[in-house]
Amino acid sequence: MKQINRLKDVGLIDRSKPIEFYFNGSKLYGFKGDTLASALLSNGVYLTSRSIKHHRPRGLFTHDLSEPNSIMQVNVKDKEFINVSATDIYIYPNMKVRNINSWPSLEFDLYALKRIFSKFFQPGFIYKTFMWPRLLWGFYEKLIRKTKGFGKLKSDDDSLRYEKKHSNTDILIIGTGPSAISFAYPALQLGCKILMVEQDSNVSPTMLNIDYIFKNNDQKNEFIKIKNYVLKHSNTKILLNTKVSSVNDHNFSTLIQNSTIINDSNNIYLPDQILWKIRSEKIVIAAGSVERPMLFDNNDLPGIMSSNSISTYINKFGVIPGKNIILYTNNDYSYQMVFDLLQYGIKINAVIDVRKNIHKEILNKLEKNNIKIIFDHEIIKAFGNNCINEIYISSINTRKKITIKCNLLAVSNGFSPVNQFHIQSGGSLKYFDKTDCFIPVETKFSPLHIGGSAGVFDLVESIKYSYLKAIKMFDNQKQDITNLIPIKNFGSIDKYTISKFRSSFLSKMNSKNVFVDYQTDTSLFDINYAVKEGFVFLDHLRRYTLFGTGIDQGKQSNDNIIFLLADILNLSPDQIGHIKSRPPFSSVNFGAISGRNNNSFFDPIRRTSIHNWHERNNAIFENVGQWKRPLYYAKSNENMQESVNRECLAVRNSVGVIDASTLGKIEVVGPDSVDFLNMIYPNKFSSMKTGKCKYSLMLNDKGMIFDDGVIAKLNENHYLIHTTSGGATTVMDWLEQWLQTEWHNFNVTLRSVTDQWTTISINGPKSRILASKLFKNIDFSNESFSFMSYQETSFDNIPVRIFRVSFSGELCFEINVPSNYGQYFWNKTFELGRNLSIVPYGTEAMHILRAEKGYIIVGQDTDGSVTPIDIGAIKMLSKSKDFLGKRSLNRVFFHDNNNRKQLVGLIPDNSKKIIKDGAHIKTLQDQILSGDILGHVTSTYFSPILNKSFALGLVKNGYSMIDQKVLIVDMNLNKSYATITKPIFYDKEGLKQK
Amino acid sequence: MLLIECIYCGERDETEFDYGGEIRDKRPVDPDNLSDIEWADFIFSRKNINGIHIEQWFHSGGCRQWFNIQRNTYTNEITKVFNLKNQQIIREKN
Amino acid sequence: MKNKLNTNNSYSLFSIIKGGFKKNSVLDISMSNKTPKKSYDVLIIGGGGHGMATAYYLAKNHGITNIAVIEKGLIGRGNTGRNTQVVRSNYLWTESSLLYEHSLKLWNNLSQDINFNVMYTKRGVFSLAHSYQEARDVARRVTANKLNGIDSIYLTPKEIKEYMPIINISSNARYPIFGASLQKRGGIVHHDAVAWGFARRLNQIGVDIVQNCEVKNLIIKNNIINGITTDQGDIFANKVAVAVAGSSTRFAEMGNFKLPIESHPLQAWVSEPIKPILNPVVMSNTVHAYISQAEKGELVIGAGIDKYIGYSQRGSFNVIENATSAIIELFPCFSKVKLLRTWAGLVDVSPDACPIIGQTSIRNLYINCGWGTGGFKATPGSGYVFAHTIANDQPHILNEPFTLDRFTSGKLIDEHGAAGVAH
Repeated sequence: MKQINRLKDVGLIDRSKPIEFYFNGSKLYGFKGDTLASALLSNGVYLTSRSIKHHRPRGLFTHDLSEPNSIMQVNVKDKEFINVSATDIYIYPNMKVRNINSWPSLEFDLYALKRIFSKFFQPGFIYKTFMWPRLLWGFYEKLIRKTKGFGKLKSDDDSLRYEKKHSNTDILIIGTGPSAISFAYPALQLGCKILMVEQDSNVSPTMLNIDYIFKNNDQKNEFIKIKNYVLKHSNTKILLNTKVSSVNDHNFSTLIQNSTIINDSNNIYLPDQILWKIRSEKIVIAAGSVERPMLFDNNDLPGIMSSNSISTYINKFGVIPGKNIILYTNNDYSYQMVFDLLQYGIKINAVIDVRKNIHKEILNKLEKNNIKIIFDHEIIKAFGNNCINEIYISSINTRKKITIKCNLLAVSNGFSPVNQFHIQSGGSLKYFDKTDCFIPVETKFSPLHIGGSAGVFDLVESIKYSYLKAIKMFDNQKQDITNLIPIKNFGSIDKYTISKFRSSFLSKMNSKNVFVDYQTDTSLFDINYAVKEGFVFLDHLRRYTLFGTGIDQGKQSNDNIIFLLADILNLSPDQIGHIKSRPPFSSVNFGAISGRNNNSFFDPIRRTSIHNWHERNNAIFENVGQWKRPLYYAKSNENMQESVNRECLAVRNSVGVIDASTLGKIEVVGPDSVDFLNMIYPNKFSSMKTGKCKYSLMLNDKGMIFDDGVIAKLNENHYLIHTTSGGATTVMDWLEQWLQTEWHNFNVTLRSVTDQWTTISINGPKSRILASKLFKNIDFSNESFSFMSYQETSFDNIPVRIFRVSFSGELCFEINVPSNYGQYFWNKTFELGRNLSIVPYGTEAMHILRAEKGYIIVGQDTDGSVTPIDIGAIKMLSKSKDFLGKRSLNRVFFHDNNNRKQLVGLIPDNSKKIIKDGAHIKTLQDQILSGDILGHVTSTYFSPILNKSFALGLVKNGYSMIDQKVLIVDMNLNKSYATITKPIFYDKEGLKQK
Repeated sequence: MLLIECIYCGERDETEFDYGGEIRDKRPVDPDNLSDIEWADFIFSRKNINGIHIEQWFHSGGCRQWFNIQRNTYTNEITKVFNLKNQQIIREKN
Repeated sequence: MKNKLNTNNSYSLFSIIKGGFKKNSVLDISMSNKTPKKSYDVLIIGGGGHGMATAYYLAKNHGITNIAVIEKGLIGRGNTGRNTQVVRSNYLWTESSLLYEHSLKLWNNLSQDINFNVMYTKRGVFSLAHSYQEARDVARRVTANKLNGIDSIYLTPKEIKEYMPIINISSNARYPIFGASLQKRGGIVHHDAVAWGFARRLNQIGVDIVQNCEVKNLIIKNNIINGITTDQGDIFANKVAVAVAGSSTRFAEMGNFKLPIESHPLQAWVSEPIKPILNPVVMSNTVHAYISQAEKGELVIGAGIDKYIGYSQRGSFNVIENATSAIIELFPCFSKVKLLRTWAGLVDVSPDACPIIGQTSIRNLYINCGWGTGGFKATPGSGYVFAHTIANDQPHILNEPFTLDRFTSGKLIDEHGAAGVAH
């Protein structure tokens, strides 16, 4: 087991659980608790990837989700992970890992030959060429696409399982580092509930070296005491392996848990990843800061890493990825890495510090350990092939140059506070010269920032001021802070310093090899070139050179580029501005965002009480909104057309029954019911008698039809209105809106009873016989129960409502019973109807029957631009009262026959051929592609009772075109002919339904 | 996701509500006496304010009551919650 | 036409190769920010695609070059830089179809016209139908398109799958696919390229682009526009044209007229880039989302507007949740792809989902707004007809149906169906 870079007995990995995994086909080793990155390094793998554009050899730069280089494709069991950073996933037995973007192999990548032409590559290359010949762009684009993109997605389903969870808390703290602990301490004392979110697998992951990170034992012990208090408190909840994805308005945050670990459990009820939705009173950002890389020629070689990452690799994983170690820095903080290594007996070769002096304490420690420090020097070039082996440094003062051997270079160009959450929620930043970074400008809307995220990099200062910031916040909220236990021993702060470093040697370097953004392969050359072209504003520069647009979102690189641009344009960093970060902070699987809401959970399914009977009787269902309605009932010896014909004929000749429960039903109750109905419908209800039914259209205030239905007067001040199946909710909301926001004076109550009643609609010449058998106590004769009327009765104390209306054009009784009894009455209906050749029918037959009678279906014969005048219902518009839509319809345009499409019937010349859906209508003499479109076909069917095809359509000036022939053109541009008729084809006097 | 305070149910996620637009003038009692331009103005014109905005919300997933809130359409800060009928201020935040 | 076109700095493969041997110089200046002069013939407020296209066509078609484009922020950083790049012309009504079709034809040659590759790629745009009524609506639209001379075909689920093997056409889906329309000439255009391309061309022609310049007021005397007041001083002009999308109402207030638009956030998001897996653009009204894969490999997804009005250019998470579920319904394997970045634009939605292009009640003040969620595809067409309207002080035949007074007459052109899910 070749763990050449692993130290004995160091780190938090579980040495009792060794793991084998595969990298590009080679078997490698690690332990449980290793990330893919630490495992690779422990095996001595330094070359982990090829850069996206230039295919340069790259290695690991960091240890966490800000990693710019090492993007992998990972497969474990049946789970596929694409575009995973090696630092962002823990290893699992038999994990198979491949790097992206090289061919045929990582070590030997033929695409690297591209670099021969690097002379000609410039930013915006693709915009400046590929324009000739025009017709070849499609072909060019296909080729270009093949070279872009990171991982390759397999087309099989995602086997990961996701869950969404909600939680509320008083304070959401992002991070569990020292400042977070310190902030939580007084908060818990005041009774706050705290949720702390930690992306690592350990609490306080930057304090694994707690035994020697403090300068004195008193501080160390005080901190340990506070930490234990916070972690063990009953009001503290901690989520590990959880990243904050976004911070949104009104303190709504989303988190993603366990995206970095492979679900070990065989428990099928445990999800792989959880998306948390958190609402909190306050959000505190303690997410630390990101260390910035240094800029020099070949600054992207494998073996160049951020200094605090090296600390983590040794403290957490016991891995030290190099023997000849150099630190290159501009600040005191990065020396912590040196001392971390010393704890394990590892001495680095030298420090190259761009400054002229460092903190006294650090200097003493270095001297005590005989570690060389080279002041006032900068690295101007690095050398190596697949790993760094040498650096070329220059004195900043004298420009004298030396070469030093090195195979692990730790770099630190200062720190960028994590400010993305602040920007996401609309905040802004201000540049702070002393620490060379951008600090969030806090407002009343923004989160609070502490520790590194507030630009406070000193450990003691961080702990002290987080506590004080918490106190201040509680004091502003008028809470009693007088009895809080303070933090002891964190009084004086002996600050470390950072020196702003901008190399004056940059202009002499080969700018094509100085990388300002590793992941997008953006070089100093690209920036200089783009600026010369005029892309001087940060946003334009970014989108043009693509810096910051990678998966890592430029977390380490953005600020270096802002400083560069400031120098080039001779402006301050504030004048340059900052990058507008957007959520998510780090990528989230689409599956996690969707959670369980797919397949049958994508949208709720609504079923009527008769659903099981429909299924047993071979109903083929269609979706009507969220409802499942039988389209027709299949029989083994019939195709669909035959089944539907049979159903239609049954209704016309004997009796058919349809489940009409899905239609909306709203009760309108109250002394002002009539006034209310008069406003919402165009016809007048003032003299409607109890027990009568009226059909009406519902108009919006622009005069357009958006729903229709029958209104029944059940009793004085008690009406029942029907709506379409799909429109029930819309109408209910529409009516409530008018009542509550406009007509406060109307004493009217609305009750939605759609689900409460099952509607058994019995249609056909024999329906009277059947209804009489069902309810012996009702006289269903024409004299007693006339067309468009209503009666109620009861059956065994079960209330029954019967409406005599007709959508089929046949004699019809719609029996409404409470839904709990729906199935009972439906069964009874079919039992009693056995000798009457009773047949169930579905929506397809229903469509044909009503179309034969010219009854519209809102949404099919209307499309939101059709008025009552257009469908021949001008008489419905009352002249003696106001109603919604009236004023709009009193405009010239709506009475202009020449320009309004009017509802007509169409009889095709070829009676056997059904006009295709969507066909359009033109005048007989028209050429297909010239002249006006007269109109279009809205409903087209074959009528079994008439034995011919027919259609309804909307045609300009249609009323005056009756008996005229027109040209029909369908979507394949096939022509046919038809005659315009009145929109009614069967039983024109309506005798059968009366 | 906005946090909307229903005047009856308290603070709830935005997904429980429907948005009813800016508060508008009352529907004219005598629309027939308005010119086409005046009528179109009533039906279609919007103040579409960038800044402090009074608007209607409907708690469709709860008590099904309409109410008004005052929200800054740029910052999304909600500062007042009103009873729709009498415009009485139920809650005011500073 | 007279223009100060400097053809020495044209972009081509040849000039790139030549440029590769020249150190320290660039092929051409793409952008330069100008200080405004005291007056111009025409001022265009709004430095987005539409505004800059208008300036371009004023120069190209009408010989007017004494123009300044005044932009409050940076050019192309409003909706032009935030949209999902879809172009198509398969709308329902003849009036709108012809306008979008004119635009699509202009897209065809735009790269060559302005010598900047805007990357108009004919990936094909699918509109899926998930029910019988939707299938009828799609059939109606396909027929209307064909009759208007616009390419459009109807495909069955099996045929759809041939274009994108990863789509789920199973009848067991919650809302199975019944069919789709396909416009083969529809596709995508690189949005930033449009902004930069126009900016460079305008620079060559001699049109001033003034960025970081906010209009404080309109200077109006006797109901005629004289110019604008900005934070860089007063600028006078014979004609002022406003193309500012979601900020249009503010200008209406300054001009003392009213608009029917509402400004809503419109969100869009991208995934991490992956190898090519989806070629066409796919839209679905029912499951309510649309998706394409950009040239760089990221999946670009959008849905509908956030329901409340808002100027923050931020939207709510539930919109992203719902549309992402919808995408996974259509393409189950995309569950494994990761969300990289979400953002929002500020769209001006009109009552009939159609634009408002024309004169205002102030003489020589012109407005172009109301494009809502579908403005990007109309960029060249909109600029073309707006330029005509400004130059001739009356609408082009293509934007005649889209003037402000259609709301008074009732002659709305309701494109909510075809505009569909925010596009």
